[in-house]
Amino acid sequence: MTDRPDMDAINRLESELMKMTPARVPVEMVGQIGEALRRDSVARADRLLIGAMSIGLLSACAIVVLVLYGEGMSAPTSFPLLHTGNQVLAGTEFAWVAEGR
Amino acid sequence: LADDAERWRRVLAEHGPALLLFARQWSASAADAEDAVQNGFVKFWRNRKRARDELAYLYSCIRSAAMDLGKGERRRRAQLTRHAGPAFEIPADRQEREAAIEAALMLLPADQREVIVMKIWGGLTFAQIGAAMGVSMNTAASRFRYAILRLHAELSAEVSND
Repeated sequence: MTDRPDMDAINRLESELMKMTPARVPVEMVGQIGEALRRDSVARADRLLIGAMSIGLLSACAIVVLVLYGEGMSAPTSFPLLHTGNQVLAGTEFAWVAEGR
Repeated sequence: LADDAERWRRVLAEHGPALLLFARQWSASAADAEDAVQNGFVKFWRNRKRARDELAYLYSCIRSAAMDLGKGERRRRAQLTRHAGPAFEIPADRQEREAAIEAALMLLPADQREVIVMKIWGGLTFAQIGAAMGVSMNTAASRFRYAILRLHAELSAEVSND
């Protein structure tokens, strides 16, 4: 049979432990953490900027393609550039030519 | 940004000493423990808004950073030979007793020691300790109970040996 633990002694030990103060964080370490956090936030901002720029670029390309496609659809022949003899005309210009404008 | 800097400084001032003590459980030296706190803290700060419990997540980040740093075989061997420096601020009149407690702490199995550090000096609840260690609240509580009993036994044995 095992002895029952002396709960008073255990409680005393617990409060004794609580009174012990862990060693302080060195000042240089705080500086290093600050620098690491700054580098991390700059890297994240760069990644966000690159992401936003990529999305912007892709959107711009998509808009240009849609506009050209739309223009091509309104022209009488094929998309996106139309050949008239030796001339290469954009869809709208060809449409105007075709309408005699 | 100034607010952000103010916030992380406050969190570090409040929890830094306990985190450093916690990181020392796996570190070969005080410098390694500082590196672990730095790496873990940056990871915590980046992802803290997604954490269910910030304090538990902070300890879990420090734990994995310290374990990663302590993984190398060379570091493990170094752990046996290098002295990590004082882990506590010890008042002159309690040097002997606190040194005995620190030595008794080092005799505990790692999983019991980390529960003691999180509970006593980190002020975490058993639920938070369980979340940080990936175990249930009850397991965390029993590890704490075993650890305290064992510490008490070690320290009593030392007193009776003197």
